[in-house]
Amino acid sequence: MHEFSIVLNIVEIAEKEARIAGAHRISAISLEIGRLSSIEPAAFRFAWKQAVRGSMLEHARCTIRYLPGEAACTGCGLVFEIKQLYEPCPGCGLFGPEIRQGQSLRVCSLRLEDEPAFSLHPNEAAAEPLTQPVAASKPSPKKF
Amino acid sequence: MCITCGCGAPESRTNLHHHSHTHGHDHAHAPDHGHAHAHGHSHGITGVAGSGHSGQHDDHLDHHDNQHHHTHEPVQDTGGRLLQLERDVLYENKLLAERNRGYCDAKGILALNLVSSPGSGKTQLLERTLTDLKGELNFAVIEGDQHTSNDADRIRATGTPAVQINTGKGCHLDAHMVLHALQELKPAENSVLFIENVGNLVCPAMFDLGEEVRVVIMSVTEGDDKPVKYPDMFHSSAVCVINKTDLLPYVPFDLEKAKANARKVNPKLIFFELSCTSGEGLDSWYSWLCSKMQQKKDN
Repeated sequence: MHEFSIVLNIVEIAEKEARIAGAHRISAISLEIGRLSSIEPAAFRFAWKQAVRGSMLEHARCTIRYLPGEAACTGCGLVFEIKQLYEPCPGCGLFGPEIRQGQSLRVCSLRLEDEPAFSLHPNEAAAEPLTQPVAASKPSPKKF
Repeated sequence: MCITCGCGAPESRTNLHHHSHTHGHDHAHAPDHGHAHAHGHSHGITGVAGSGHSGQHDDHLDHHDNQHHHTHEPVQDTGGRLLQLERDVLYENKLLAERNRGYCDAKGILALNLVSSPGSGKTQLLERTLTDLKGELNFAVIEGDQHTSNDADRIRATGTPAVQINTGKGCHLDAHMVLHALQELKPAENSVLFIENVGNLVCPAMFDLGEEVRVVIMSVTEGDDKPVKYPDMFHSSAVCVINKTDLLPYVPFDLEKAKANARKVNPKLIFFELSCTSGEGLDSWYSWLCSKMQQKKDN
């Protein structure tokens, strides 16, 4: 169940960045998971539900983009989509191609809210227009 | 608070044991420092929306599906501001792994990460190696297990310094745990550092510890299709040890088939077939270790 610690890492990254940016909450998060990244989607979903509880991501909408694997044959140079690491090159049959894509695991973006979620009725929050501008004009500090 | 890595909330999941004869364990971190996000806040999980709304590669995990309309563009359907991150989830681990690697390089330490399923004979291979090469090479060992310091005790019995990491519920070691273990252990310069990972052929594959070589161990009592069943581990390893070869006459394990399967995943794998019980094949493993150490010294 490494998916659980992966989700905890995501929570840590998201909360840290949200706090640096001075946000109250995170309403959405977008992730990219490579098909060859050792993440099992079902296990990830299960881990997500458990691990985001009580965090700033608890009510965030999570969108995952699964990136297909791409490999280049070290023999004939053919670039092909690879689903399993033990797949041979469909052109010449050679094993062990160079993996070019599909092992990534990234937090792509966060949607940050500057106002706390405050509503007597859960549906009111959606009905009420948000007063904050969609501020690309307000660059958030980045920290490494 | 960890001064070195700045970790504000050191995990209770990691306990470092380094005292061999007392039953009191040395906890590197106060056990009440939990991971910060898990208090029992009980909002109902409204279930998981499937991937039906979007392209074949997208998935939505929604927890409040009464508020949002789905669109195909990720993270653009609400107000608020968009923060583009493009951050590697394992960035922190990779950073600490490089730090460990740098530490080992500077001290001429050859770090090997031993990974396998439980019961393949990792600890036994270490015991044999540490005993047989005593006097020839200096060793230090980091042991990873969910519970107990049994393995570190076995290692110390050979006269080798060892630190036990207990991961608690964790299923793998990570670079952060190894960093703290290195601080405890302080391996001698020009020594071989064995990091025996938690017995698990899945999870440890994702976590770089800062090792120089990853060694995957399988035994002939397992299936010879293990490499294709658990390809990630064989893909990320450089060396494959096939242990317990003395049992080959009694088990249906096909050695050549196992190697062929492993080569499908990783054609560059270097194989050692050996038995820690009979001693067969250990010589080539030892000479590989010695030459690797020599290379390290020469660099």
